[in-house]
Amino acid sequence: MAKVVNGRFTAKMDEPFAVFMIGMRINNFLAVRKWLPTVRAMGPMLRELHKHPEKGFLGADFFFHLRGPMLVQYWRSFDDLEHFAKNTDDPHLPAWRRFNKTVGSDGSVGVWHETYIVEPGNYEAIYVNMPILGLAKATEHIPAIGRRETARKRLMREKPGS
Amino acid sequence: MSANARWEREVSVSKEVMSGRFTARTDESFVVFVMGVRVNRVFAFRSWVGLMWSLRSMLRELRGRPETGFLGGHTHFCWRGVTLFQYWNSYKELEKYSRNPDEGHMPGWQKFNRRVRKGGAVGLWHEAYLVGPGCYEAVYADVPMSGLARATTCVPAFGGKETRRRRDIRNGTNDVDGKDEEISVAVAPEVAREAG
Repeated sequence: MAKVVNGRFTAKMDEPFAVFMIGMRINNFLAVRKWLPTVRAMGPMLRELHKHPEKGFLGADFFFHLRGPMLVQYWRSFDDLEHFAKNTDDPHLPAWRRFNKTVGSDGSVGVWHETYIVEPGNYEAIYVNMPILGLAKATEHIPAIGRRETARKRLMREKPGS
Repeated sequence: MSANARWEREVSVSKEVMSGRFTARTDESFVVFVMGVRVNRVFAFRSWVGLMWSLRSMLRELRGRPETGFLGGHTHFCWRGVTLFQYWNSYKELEKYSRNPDEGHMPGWQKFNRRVRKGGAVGLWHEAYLVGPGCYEAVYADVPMSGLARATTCVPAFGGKETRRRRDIRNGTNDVDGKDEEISVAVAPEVAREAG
């Protein structure tokens, strides 16, 4: 289990990055043969991404609610994310095709994603008594002291050239 | 319509699966705010029960009050905690809400600092992203109206407009040129303004 780091920390990233949230929703719990393969498709994809940091994947965190999981992923750029999603040699495209063939639009499983492109300095983060996670895990985990103490200072501080 | 009635209508919308593919449309900049609480010591009930409770009342307070700048959000769980995903109109409004002593956040935060922070029984975190006009893309397939689509405008995906918008994001030309009037993506440097 992740070790808690006591104190106040923040994340440091001088480059632009992309945040990608992806989730699924089990609309029909009885359709196990539809949703189970969808859940299981994520593992191999993440393993592949962790093994190949050059693909632009920076890190991910896992969340869930009653009807299914969601992931927040951090990427170096939207291009890298898209390249991974569309590259026939990477595991996403075959999994997506499989999903379209087996589930398609029958409504038993829903999927969604949102991507945000974040320019340098247009983020701020704070972690108090938390294990290293989120953007800090994906980029750099540093103490939130001095010029990084308050939200506004952090936001201004990360502006390019400051 | 009262705030509560509006909220009840929202809840019924949030349960109904929409078949087909949809996306979110907004020409404005917005802020994505992710906030989580983690229970580090489960048996320190006195530290975390109150905190979770104030989180709940904060969410209730924000419901159906667009004037605060809160656009909507969803709650997920993670190992040992909960995480809120929220969409805000601007960073300024988010900041104003969080610092207003008459709203629920400020007293909750002070209580956390006073009673809990040093002991380390509970962890707190947040991340905020300032997203410029057009610097996002989203797809929802066979899910209820949720996330950014619910917080802004939900429209069917993959019409000509949407395909073009996605292509423009890809090419990095999403925020300029005005060549294509159909892509109604505003150019205003909103994000810079908010931060400054």
